[in-house]
Amino acid sequence: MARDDNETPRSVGEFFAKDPAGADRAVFGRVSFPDRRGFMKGAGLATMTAMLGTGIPFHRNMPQGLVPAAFAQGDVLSGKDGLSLLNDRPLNAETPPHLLDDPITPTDRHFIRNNGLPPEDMDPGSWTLTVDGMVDNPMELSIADMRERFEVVTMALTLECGGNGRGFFDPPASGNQWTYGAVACSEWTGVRLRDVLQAAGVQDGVVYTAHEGADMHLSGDPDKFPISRGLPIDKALTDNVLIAFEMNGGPLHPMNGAPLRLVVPGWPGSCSQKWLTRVWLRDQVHDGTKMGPRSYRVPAYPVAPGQEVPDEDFEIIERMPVKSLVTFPENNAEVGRSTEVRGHAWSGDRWISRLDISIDFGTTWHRAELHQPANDGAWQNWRAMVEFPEAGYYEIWARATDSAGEMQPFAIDWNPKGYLNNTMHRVGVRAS
Amino acid sequence: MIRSSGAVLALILASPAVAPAAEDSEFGVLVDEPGVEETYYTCTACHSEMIIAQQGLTRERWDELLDWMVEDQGMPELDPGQRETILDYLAEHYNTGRPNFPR
Repeated sequence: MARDDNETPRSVGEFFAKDPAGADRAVFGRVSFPDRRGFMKGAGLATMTAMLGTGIPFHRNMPQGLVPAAFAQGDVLSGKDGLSLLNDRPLNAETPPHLLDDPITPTDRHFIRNNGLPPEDMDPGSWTLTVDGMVDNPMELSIADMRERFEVVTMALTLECGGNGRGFFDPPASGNQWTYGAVACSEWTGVRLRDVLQAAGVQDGVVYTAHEGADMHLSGDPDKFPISRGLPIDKALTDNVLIAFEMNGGPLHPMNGAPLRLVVPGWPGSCSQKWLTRVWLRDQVHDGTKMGPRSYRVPAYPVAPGQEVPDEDFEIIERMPVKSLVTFPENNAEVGRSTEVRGHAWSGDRWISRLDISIDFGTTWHRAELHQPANDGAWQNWRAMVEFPEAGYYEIWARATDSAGEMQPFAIDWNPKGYLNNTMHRVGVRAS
Repeated sequence: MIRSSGAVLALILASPAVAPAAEDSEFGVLVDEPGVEETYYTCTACHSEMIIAQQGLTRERWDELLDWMVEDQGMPELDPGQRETILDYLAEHYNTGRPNFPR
């Protein structure tokens, strides 16, 4: 559509008011039927439903030029509570630490990390998963098939974005500037990826899985995947990697991959393909979108902040490092002369062995009460009582140590893409 | 100018009613300085300007990022003048000193 600058509408509302059909066509690619309702040949329906994150059952009745009310309400984070919006296309949002205080993260507090545009159709009834590649028996399974054929399990599983904490890198690393809250531990119900792969028959020589989802590349090119990552086959065959169809006992949130996703605890969230449609097995490391050359990779050796590193020196990130969060009190809270302090700690493929807190900038440390994980792959909750010797400003620092003896560092181990920031969380409080 | 449907789509997504974080500007959260219009309409054909405003990169890194979008992400080649305008804008307002970081 050609328009000169003089005709440029001053606002979207004005555009639609002046020329509903033209605005529909320009914005959504929509063409209505002669009765000025609906979407002729479906034109524009995919765009509108993708923007809404769900289908429009009565789309045939929808008047020409009608902008969905949900857009006007600014509700890109519908069904979420208190998340900070980092990006609205693709949608990325994190949870402030004090809203992650629950032992198990409620669905409305689980972070969102999208790489593309969500699919319009998330119907669990018609959804299918293809399992093929180097398997003896390629399969196409509905969610009902999976429930029937395999053991259904529920596990609390920690998911953390590989770039959580990127916002603190100096020099800055490109990408979403996550601070603390791209992590969660919800309860996921599904079947084990292992059981499904074994039923399909893993052939000799399989090295890696490859995952595909139904989301669309930002360019709209149907031949491009927004993301397609995979796992070493040994990891895929462990017993806490789920193909999940329930989140906290209910449906998956649309932006968390409804109706079907992988959940790979303790590894970068990008391994946990959302809107999962296919898992195929390969005799090489998967080379899908965002497997490299730098995506979800770090240099094979320590580098100085800002150092240039050639592509061939990057290695794929596997487990996420030891880390913890203080979820109570909230940063900048006013507290009395004593307060409870609590939070979570996790370390990919490992357990947390101790959690220490300091209120004197790391000079002395006190061991917190550390709980067992709900299951293998869940974060561990911890708590402590803190007494402040006098009124004033204090910082509560938390430092987790994992089962391999590794501790959280104070300073960032800088890498070019801004991954794996597991530095200690500091929460400032004013005691009076 | 020729405006793609993507640019108008971006207009609706970036309008204050849609993105609460956006200021009341036709260029969303981007700082309104020379080059903003070219930057806004070129970039928001595919993604929100919110991801731009979060970055703090050198001109060289911005240049590499544009190469990556053209080579890997299906962005059309920009004409050289347009590319210079956009790079000038990004390097001045979204550099490593983060003069316009949104939080």
